[in-house]
Amino acid sequence: MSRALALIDGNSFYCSCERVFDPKLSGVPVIVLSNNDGCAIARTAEAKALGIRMGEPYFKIRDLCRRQRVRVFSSNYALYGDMSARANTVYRQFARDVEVYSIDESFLDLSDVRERDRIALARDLRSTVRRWTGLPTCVGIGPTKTLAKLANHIAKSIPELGGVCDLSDEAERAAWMVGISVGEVWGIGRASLARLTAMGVDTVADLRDLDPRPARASLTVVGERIIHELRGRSCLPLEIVPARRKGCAVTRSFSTCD
Amino acid sequence: MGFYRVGEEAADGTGLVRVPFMRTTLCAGFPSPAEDFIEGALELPRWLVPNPPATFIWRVRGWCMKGAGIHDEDLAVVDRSLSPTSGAVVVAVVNGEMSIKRLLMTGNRLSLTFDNPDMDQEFALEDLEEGLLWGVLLFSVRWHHVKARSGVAR
Repeated sequence: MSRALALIDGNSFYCSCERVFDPKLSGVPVIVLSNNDGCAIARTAEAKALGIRMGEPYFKIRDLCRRQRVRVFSSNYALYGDMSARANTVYRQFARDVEVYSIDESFLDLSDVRERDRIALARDLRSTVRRWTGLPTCVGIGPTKTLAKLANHIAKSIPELGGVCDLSDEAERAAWMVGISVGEVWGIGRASLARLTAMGVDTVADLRDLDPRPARASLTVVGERIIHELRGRSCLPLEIVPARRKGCAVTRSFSTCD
Repeated sequence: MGFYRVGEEAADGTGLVRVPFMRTTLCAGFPSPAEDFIEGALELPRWLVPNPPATFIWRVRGWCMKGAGIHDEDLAVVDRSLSPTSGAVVVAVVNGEMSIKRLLMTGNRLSLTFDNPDMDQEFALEDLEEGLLWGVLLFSVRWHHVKARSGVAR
């Protein structure tokens, strides 16, 4: 049976946690700020539509938020941690091996589920999490972590998919890859993106077709591994993950002393 | 405000499940001022909490569920995974407020009612699937000794 990993994550996770307990927050723009209320670190679709960007300093958008009646929350990690633990408890009822990758993302091993049953299982998982905890999620399935992550990105961006995307099928995978920018690939940061663009690598398919060995020179061993993973050869086992670089930001915040 | 993790880990180690109190209160007749909530979590034996990830505790404000034996300041232990049946006490969104009501299914008609002989009002519930029905009451907790109640805050 073919190897299959699923990446499930919460949609606008911190905002969704707030929404579970306050019906007035549904359908309106909501953002959650980082520690000391410095930057916007979670935004609902309504807030994104207003042009509020990830990590944007709050002082820059304070007027916009007031004008547009954006509901603004300080972060409450005790709440988000509790909701995350609940979600993961549900995940463990659907998959034997679960890797809690971050507060709102987990990898599930679905290798022992028949290929044709995986999407149905993912839909069942999603709706169970929604019913039991109130949290909306998306699920991406693929033979490697990088492909599961890519599938999750597709599930998030195409509403018609109903929050689930399975990239187990190689032909279907190839069709999606020509239309997605290489910057969406897990582990491709701003620095490698610039290098890839210079090399004429624009889409995920372009990156997959690079020769992995020479690519190591410009993209390091991490880049080489990504190429293998995009080809369906797993390089990242379930529990062992590299140090998390994504989501690391240096920000400054100022407050008045009075 | 204190939120605590619930889940299998807690249940396995001690046989207890920590269920956090929600910071907001459930409106049982009156708009709910959220200022003086109890902070903390209840440690409940596993057999009282059949489905920990779906179980939440709300504090009740108001008297509209007096007939159901649910008083002002009681704790409502709510299971979101239970299927609502006619006559069940449920947590539902009424006029944009989270509230606790009795669910009545009369033929095809769904409605929510107070359970208090002094109050008589029915609310139509449009659709169970639209997220308006938040959860089903599993049981409630009342401190008959009011002073002792403040001792559970952690």
